Amino acid sequence: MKPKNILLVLSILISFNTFSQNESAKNPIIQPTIMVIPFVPKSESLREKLEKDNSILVAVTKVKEGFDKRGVNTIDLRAKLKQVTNTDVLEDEAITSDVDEVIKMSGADIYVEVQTKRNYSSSGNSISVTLTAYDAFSSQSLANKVENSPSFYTDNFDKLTEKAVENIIDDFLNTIQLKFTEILNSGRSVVLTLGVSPESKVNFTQELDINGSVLSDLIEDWVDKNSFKNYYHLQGITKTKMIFDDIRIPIKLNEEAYKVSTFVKSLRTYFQTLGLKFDRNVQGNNIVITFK
Amino acid sequence: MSYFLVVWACNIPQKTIPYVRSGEVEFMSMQHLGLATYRSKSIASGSGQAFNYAERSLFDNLFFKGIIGSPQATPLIEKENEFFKEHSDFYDFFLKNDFYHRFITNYKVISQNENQGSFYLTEEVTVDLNALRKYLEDNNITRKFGF
Repeated sequence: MKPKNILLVLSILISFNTFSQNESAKNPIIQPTIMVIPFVPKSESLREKLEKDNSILVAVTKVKEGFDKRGVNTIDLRAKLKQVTNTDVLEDEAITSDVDEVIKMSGADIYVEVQTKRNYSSSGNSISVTLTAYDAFSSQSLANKVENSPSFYTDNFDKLTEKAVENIIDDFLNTIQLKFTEILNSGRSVVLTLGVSPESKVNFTQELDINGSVLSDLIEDWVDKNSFKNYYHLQGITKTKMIFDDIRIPIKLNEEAYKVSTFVKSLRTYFQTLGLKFDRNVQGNNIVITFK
Repeated sequence: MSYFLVVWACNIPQKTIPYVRSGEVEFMSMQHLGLATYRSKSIASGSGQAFNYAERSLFDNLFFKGIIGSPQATPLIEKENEFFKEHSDFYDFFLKNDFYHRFITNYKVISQNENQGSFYLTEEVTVDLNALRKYLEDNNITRKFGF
């Protein structure tokens, strides 16, 4: 290779390296926390499912491996179950098997439910694997994939499970990533319900400033200015209740993660300027404000 | 006279078949550790160019369209127009300067034939998708998993 060409290739490589360093500093990635769990009917326990059904254990492990390959750490379900049983909050085994409780305690942003079904036939055995990813925050489904392994004259369902998961895991993760892009571009949805306590003198039709603006108008103006790309939907207003069933908030603001609590904090600051006191309750993407 | 005819014929410029991206890329199989095998077709002016076109078409499909039924059924690069606005240098470096070869772990010719100056090729290529994806992420061409 001529010296001129070597210099050209080197300079291109150096510029890519500098470019990628600058770009990664400008656009940090916010990685969600993920937990992979088996699908269990209400009557079964998560721990039992993991310990007694080896195909499920293989499927859960292969899915976690898929995330590992993408550089994503996952919360270990068995470690979380142990942690949950050690807390003072829980009183009996039944609670540790409740999927919702485990997901809440895990702090996972996303959970992936894995289901397997063995198929027996005279022409060979196979296994169906179903993967579903949910946003723990809103319970919205992010991705779904089903795969049937080929049929073989074998009882080695673990191997069949491995093959089935390997066939779909990359496409499954790619679909989740596309959903992330959609959420990045259109915002995360929260529900805001505002009400008044029985003892409160506040109502949404009261005038609050010298211009005659009523409380509901002021709140709607604030939501309009503070929602992502001004996107919100007001479901309805009465004298004592106001419901926004869809307000979009950004995932990032100034390259930092923007949480629901950040949104609520801004709202609190605004209500303080209006001299309003309230109680707040935040569960996932549901915000409930009750004026005192 | 015949001498001059031969000289004249030798100096007629051969037709150059430009590269045209086609969707004629088919997923064949997936192996362990993220190695995926595809079959890609091309038409070119010569043998060397046909290999280059077939492989370039494969990577173009992986980047901008996705390949149905494969582990990369969705495009690696979500917005093609924005990509070319911001990273056209990268594209030239990666595809036109054959940098993509480092992600090909195996290849074989399925069929090749020549007809009236056009070279037709079907090539089977195995790509290390995990390494390719990581390379694009490390160079901020694509986003790492997450927001």
